[in-house]
Amino acid sequence: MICTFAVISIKSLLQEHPLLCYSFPPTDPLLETSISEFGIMSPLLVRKSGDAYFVLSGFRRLNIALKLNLKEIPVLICDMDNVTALRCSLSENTSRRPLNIFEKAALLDILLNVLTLPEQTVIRDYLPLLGLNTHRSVVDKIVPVNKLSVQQKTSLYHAGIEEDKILSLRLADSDTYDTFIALLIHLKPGINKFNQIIELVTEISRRDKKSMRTICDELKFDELIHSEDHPASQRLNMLRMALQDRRNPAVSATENYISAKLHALKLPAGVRLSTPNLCENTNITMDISIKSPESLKQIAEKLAVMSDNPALSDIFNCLKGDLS
Amino acid sequence: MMHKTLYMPDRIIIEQSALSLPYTQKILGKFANIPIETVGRIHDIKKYSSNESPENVVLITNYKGSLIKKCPGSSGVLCCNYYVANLINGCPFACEYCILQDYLNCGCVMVCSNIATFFEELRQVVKPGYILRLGTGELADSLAFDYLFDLTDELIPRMHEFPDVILELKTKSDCVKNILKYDAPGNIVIAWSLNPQELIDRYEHNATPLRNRLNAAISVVSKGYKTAFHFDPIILVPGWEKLYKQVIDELFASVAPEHISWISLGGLRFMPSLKRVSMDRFPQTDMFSYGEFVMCKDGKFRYFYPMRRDMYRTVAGYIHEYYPSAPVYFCMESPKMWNDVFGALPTRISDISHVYDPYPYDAICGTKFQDGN
Ligand code: SF4
Ligand code: SF4
Repeated sequence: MICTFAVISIKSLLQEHPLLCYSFPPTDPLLETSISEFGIMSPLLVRKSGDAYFVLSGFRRLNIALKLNLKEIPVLICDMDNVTALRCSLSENTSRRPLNIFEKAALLDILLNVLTLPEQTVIRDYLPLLGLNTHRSVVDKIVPVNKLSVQQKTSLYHAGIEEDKILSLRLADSDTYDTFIALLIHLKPGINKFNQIIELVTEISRRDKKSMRTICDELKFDELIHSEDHPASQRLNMLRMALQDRRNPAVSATENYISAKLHALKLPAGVRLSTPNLCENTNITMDISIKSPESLKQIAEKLAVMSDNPALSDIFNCLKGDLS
Repeated sequence: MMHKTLYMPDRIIIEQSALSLPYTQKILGKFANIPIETVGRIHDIKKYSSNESPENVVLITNYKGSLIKKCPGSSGVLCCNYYVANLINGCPFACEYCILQDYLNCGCVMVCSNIATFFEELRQVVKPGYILRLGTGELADSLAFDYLFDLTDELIPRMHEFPDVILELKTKSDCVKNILKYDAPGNIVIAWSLNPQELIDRYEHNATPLRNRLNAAISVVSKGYKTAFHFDPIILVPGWEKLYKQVIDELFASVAPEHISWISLGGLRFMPSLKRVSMDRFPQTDMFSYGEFVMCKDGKFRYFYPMRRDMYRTVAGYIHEYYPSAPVYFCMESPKMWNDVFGALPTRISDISHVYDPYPYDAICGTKFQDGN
């Protein structure tokens, strides 16, 4: 393929349809410093379209050139189709740095929905270039990330939120993205807790036939996320407990009942009772930590008295599964 | 036959050493127009197929591992004496709760064509004097592919050689055409998993409608076969009582109790990883939204005990209305549940002695069997 080098007026570039642009963020401070000092060293890839030029690759350079008010820009004019152009820019970009999750999502979205390549082709030919497993589920997980707005992507990018958490946002409705992004940024849950929160909201929303947005509002998510009253970890726990109570009212009521009865038992110091696998069996597990033979004796005396406490029978009855 | 589009593979990949096996040749005879490739070993097959749309690939192997194994059961639950033969892995249906989604990493359909090895193994597993229950439906639907692979033509004619084995063919299909060719050997049970039609529509994608499953049951009964039914998983959607009552009414209007060998009950249960996979595959599912789940000792989520117990009491009650001595048992339930619902542990219930008695010394998976628990 023969390409022609030229320096052209920046005004002659068609910028209104950056169909093939997948770079994120749209600018790069290091590149901007370099361009402001030395100009554009590496020409953009363009295709002639009447009197104008259609940009195939080099959108970041173009954005920076526009920001710096450059009048002219070096280009390689090539008569290549969109697919070849995208492959070309992909190979150039990935040789310099791995694409981030926003770029991967945008690229896959372009391949599937703009260039309308068959999904099978995208899976076979493009996922390996992105270092991804060649499976349809990978595409299903990543493409929805491109539904995030530029502002939402920017917040996530600058907060350094990990890719797995960003991917989990696909499970949420788009009108709750801002809430869940704020949750990620302010309460910093681990991936398991974050997934659990989204799952609980989803389940409540489907069970109660209300939108996820409504559930978040009813449980005052935004208020809690931005509240200054408690440390972040405590707010995260409060939010999870509120969700658990709403999602599993019978389980929560049982746990609360048992916890109240355990409290009423006034356990000696160093003794902890727990009820693993709630109601699946009637066993209560006891952990005892002793500091001396005397402390064991004291605990044993107190435990003997505790065995007659009606609260203990109440717990056993509850574990039988006879809820009242 | 099934009413949705029938599964037909795009490609067949054969392990070299399976090529000359008689069952392979029979299968190939049915796929004249489908591209066939041969690879050296099963390992190559898996690698080869990972880039393809795996559901559309059939792998035919000369499987070197054990074809028969004890049903794995689960920790902390009582299990029946069940053995599984995984001659086919994969299924044309897409149930939202299916463990295969989480289990088989290669989503292809795999056929183990060394049937002779299977019969050799079976001969070794059988213990004289004991009845062994064996099923082919752990990693597959036993009959859904029978129109393609004719596996029952390999199995049924030889089962008379194994009078101490009861072979259960468990399905959500109505593929019984092959079965109806044979007069029922006494040791073959054709079993259906049943759910209300509303739940089949919602959660058992592509599977055969309830009415067609029951019609198929009627036709095998007319040939003298014994049947079994599995209410598994029971799913606690709103109004589940009425839905399950209707299914049980329909079941007993179709099949008389004397033709039923056993009925199992199992509530929806899943590993946390399965829920994630299922929610990715079926993003709109509400299956996990109803009822309340608690993590059990085996790491699986099950409905909260009191809900689950009431669910079993209700469904078992519906069954007992029609069939007071129905051989009903639980799949993967605790001794506590047995006592709470049936008032005894399985070995003490004569109605299900044929399910639990034969191998009393290994009737348990995971926990020690304590009669008095
Ligand atoms: S029929 Fe059985 S094997 Fe097939 S998808 Fe449903 S649960 Fe899985
Ligand atoms: S109870 Fe269920 S899991 Fe356990 S052995 Fe029987 S069939 Fe298998």
